[in-house]
Amino acid sequence: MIGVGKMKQYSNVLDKPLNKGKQEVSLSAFAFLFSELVQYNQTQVDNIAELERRLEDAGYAVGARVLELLCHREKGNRKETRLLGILSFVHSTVWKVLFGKVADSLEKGTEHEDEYMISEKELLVNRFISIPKDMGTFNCGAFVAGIVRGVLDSAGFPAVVTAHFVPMEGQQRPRTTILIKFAEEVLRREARLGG
Amino acid sequence: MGRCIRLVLLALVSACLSSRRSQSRTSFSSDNRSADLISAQLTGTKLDLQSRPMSRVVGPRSGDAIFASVERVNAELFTLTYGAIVRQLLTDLEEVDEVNKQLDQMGYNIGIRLIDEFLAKSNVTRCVDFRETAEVIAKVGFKMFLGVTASVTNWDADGTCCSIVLEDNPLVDFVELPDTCQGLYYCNILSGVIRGALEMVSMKTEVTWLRDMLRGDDIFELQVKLLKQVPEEYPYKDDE
Repeated sequence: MIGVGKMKQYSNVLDKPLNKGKQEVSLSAFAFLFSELVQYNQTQVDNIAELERRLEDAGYAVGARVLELLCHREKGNRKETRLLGILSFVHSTVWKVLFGKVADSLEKGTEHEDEYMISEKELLVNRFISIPKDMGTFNCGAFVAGIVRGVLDSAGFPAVVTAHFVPMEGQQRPRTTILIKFAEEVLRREARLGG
Repeated sequence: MGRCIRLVLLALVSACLSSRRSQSRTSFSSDNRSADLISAQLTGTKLDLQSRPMSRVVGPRSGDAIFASVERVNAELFTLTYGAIVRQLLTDLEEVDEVNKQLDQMGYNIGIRLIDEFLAKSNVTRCVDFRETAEVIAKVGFKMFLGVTASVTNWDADGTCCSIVLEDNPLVDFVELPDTCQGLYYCNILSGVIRGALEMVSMKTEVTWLRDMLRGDDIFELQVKLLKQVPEEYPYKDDE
């Protein structure tokens, strides 16, 4: 059949073939959209904690889908079952696909066994954002923290994930650290599985 | 003094924007030339766009060329983030009509800001008529921001109403409308963007969805209707 741009119609979105995920849009299109997300949520809350929680919720929904998508496309339908495995999946695969690069660093907390940190010198969502003084510690990285929590939770690693600014010497802008604190059960299971 | 500077800037912007395309004398870009025009004005030199050297003037750029030169992000991040927004709105507002309205409003907010970047990067000057405007939106605008090409069809007789047709729409990957959301115009943000952006270049428009692939159509079709052209407020004419 000859037709202009005729696409095969699928009755179900799950029947569609997965594309390779190489399409791009302009960074400004994303920045404009993200800014609307933040502004809309600002109208729905009366404090910073609530605003961060809402951004995190939005991110969580993205994370849960990213896990599904990437497990199918990049990992031959396998999900990670070990702590370090899933962390490096987030730090490398997820970051690479979403932000075009591997995260700057992945570290284990020195004080607490259950804490891990992913740091980024200039997080994409914070790039065009400056926080007014009266909004204190608010960090748009909450959205990315939500994505991380969405991925971890859906993979069976429940955790509390938060985003923080960490000032860096000699740099005008602070870096963003995503702090991951795993639930107790995750560490118990990890210990049982052994090294 | 402050007012004076502002007027000068307004004059400059208005002169740049209203320069006829056929003459193609000025480019609306933030290059050194605009900067030295401003400083020339502030020090009292007569602003004479016609006799400026034309060496740095370039014509409108193609959507492909701009898209290739701007920073880009993975479309899936964009798509999924938009999905998260729509889901939040559905949870907060409950009524699909309200969600449609809110999406349109968000698009409008984006449109009135996006037009600046569009004009700065595209070197497009004033369009001679609405037909050209529609072509520029489809060929340059969609390409430069979303990386897709749209086409313009279905013109009415007096050239004030047309359809912009999208075959490829990055907003709807992975999306299926559930039964409870049948009244939802999922991509309503796009119509808001067009309306907002055109309002900033003095065109009041009405933008509606005629066809939507999520609703079982074979294509996305946006109808853009020109309601009126708001006359420019400043009495500046560059060709006098």
